[in-house]
Amino acid sequence: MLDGRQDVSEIIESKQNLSWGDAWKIAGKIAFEIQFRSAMSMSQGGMDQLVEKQIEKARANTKRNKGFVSFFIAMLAGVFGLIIWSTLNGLLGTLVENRWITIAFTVSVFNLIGLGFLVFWGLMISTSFISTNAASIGHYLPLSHSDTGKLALLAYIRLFDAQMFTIIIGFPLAYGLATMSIIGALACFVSFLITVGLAITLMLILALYFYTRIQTTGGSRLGSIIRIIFIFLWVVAFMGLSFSFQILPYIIPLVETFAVLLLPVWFIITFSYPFSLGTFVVLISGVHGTPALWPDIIAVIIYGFLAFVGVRWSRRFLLQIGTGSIIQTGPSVVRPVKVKVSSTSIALLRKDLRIALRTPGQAIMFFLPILVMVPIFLQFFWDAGYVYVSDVLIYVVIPTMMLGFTSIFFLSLEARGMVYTLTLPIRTERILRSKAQLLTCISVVIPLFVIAVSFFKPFTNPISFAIAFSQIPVVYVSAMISLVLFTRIIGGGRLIGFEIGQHITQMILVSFISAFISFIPIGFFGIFWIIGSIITGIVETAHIIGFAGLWLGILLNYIIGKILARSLLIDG
Amino acid sequence: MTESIMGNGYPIVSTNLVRHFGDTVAVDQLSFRVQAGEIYGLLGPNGAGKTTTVKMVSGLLPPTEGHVEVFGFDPMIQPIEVKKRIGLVPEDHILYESLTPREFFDFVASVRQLDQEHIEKRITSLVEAFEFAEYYDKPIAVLSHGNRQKASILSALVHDPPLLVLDEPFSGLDARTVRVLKDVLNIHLENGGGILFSSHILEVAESLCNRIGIIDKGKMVAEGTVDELREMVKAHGSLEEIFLRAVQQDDEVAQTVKALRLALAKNSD
Repeated sequence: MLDGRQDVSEIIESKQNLSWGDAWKIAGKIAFEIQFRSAMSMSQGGMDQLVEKQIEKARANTKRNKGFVSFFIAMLAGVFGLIIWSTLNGLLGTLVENRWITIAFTVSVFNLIGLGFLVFWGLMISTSFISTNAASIGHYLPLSHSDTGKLALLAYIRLFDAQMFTIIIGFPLAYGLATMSIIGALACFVSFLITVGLAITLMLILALYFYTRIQTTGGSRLGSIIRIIFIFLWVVAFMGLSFSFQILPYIIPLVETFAVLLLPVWFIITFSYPFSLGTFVVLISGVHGTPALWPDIIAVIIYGFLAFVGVRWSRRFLLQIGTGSIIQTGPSVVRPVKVKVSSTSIALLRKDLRIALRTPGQAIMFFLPILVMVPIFLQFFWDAGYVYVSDVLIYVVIPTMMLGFTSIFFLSLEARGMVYTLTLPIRTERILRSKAQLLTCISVVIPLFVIAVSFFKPFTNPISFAIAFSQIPVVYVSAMISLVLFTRIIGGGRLIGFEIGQHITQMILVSFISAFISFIPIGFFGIFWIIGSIITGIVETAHIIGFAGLWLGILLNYIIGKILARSLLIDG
Repeated sequence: MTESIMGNGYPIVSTNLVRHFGDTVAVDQLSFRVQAGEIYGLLGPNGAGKTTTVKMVSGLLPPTEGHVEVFGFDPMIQPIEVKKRIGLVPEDHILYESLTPREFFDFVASVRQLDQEHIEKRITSLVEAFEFAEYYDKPIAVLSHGNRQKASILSALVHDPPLLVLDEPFSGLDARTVRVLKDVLNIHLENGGGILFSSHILEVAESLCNRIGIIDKGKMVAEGTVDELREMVKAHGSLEEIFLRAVQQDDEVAQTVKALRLALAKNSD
């Protein structure tokens, strides 16, 4: 599916050499093709007749995602620019002799964030670039070898053009404005060119590794272990990056503290990436007090050379992808044919885990609930002196109210395979139940956290434990209701493959309903607790009566879930 | 195959089946019947409505109007009963691509709750017959088109269903595998099973099918054995001639080819 607005052959017709401008236009069409194929692989394929709509949606999603990430990078560049300006003007109280290192550290950190952004956010789409083989189009056109390579490289760059542009331009601009140094802004620009060059190379190396070792190998235990380690590292890095957004308000004191801490070892680490780039920028800018770290210049030249060589290698590598001469899946070991029959529940769970662990973008779903809860948990840990029942209600019950609808992410794991599941003798409710069970297993971390905190803090009432554990069935029921409602909304009660990005509105709607459903048991707790207090006048007894009310609420939710499944699912 | 799994009635009875996609009528008042022990071929040009019919029979798509029964069960009302009895090879590969065939068959056998010993024996012989052992531990995503098709065929045969619904099953297969699959289908018929076979490869349909239904623009235009069809449309020779006559494309094709010959002639100037 290539966009037919301007035919590729029209551009190429009678051209001996492809200009960079024409190559950029064609590369845009190839890049969109890759994004479209990636989106289509998540949809229901042959079941849907409205491909034109999917094309439009894919186009809109691509623009929206690029816009969102670019906006965030620009915002971050603004924050870092502000740090530099405040440092130079003494607003942060930094000692004059330490100002250069704070600025060098800031530039270094932003280079690292730029690299992280591109590599971790771009890994999936880079893998699609390899696996969909969309770049091979150049080989079927009357183009020279060199032009085909140019086209492949530009197509790859166009997948991230907005993000790269914002990184290369955004921060040097902020730096130039903060320091009023044109030469400093230029040095900053050079440092980000090096970072982007290194990011392109690293992304392709990781994508190649990911494709050959994770997507194209299966079965062996060693392969599974490598896969899990890789996914784990990827998720940790991704979560670290996401966590850095959460600490944005505290970034200024953190930067300064770390910069000063690193001062004694700066001479040593100045050779390493990204500190060499930060030092280089302050050195060129002539910030007062910067020591003449000339070896740093050598380090920057080496990194610049590596980035240059890396981009040249990337161009060659991308060219080879099109001919299919790169991908080697390794020798296969033929093992005896066996079939392991397990219970339907185990089979469904195992299948979801296997699918998720082969795609980091999907593995992150398992960590999503934890990611949501980490800041709340930290707050709980630091704030609560005694753990009162009210603390459990605030810090444990509220996060679980936000959890139920995330089961929809597990439903999206099915992608095109959903059509196959529909050919099996299994009810829709059973499939949805397996997703709710998966989320419930993950939600066990909530009461476990309460137990962990209880080791450090005294509890006022053991009922706190019971309330925390009661959230497990609450999560299950709200997950189930979310799944039933979502299935009804997008498929009329019939399971269909879908891509989350195309159903954001429906997800938001379901998340509100799910939160309301999750609130019912705790609402019952409150009502019964008040009644218990009025009747008995004893707090402990009121807690027990409230707890009974909580379970009544859970039971009510369960019945609501059953009724909804019966009436809203096509085979209910 | 046991009496209980065969259920009551014909493997497939389709009565005035209609399916709309917006304003497009993909299937229009389609009626046909597949008997036990026969291969019923559903033939038609591209976009005739074959795949839509297959999806309605398999319970993947609800009909807009009309009715279909599989061994007496309605795929929309009793989908579990129908899916227990069907082995489907769809036109698109819709398997879980990140799983290996080993993991995939573990999943299928578990969901269908098949007997461990029986299924292992069955899958081992099928894998051997289709020369698939080499690919048993590779993710489906990296398999060639032909090997994905083999995986799809094996998943349709794994539970020994009394009805096979095959949409272009020979697509991408090499000559040896085609031969093996033909033999597997014959064994299936000898065991009393039924087959709905959808294709536009006429030679295969001619050699395999007991009866053929030719559909065009969603409508049944001719139905019967090859001889009956020949008689019906007053055409001689191969199934191709009968087919083109039935869908009223024989004159149009002849004229198109004539025009093409002129256009492609090297000395046309």
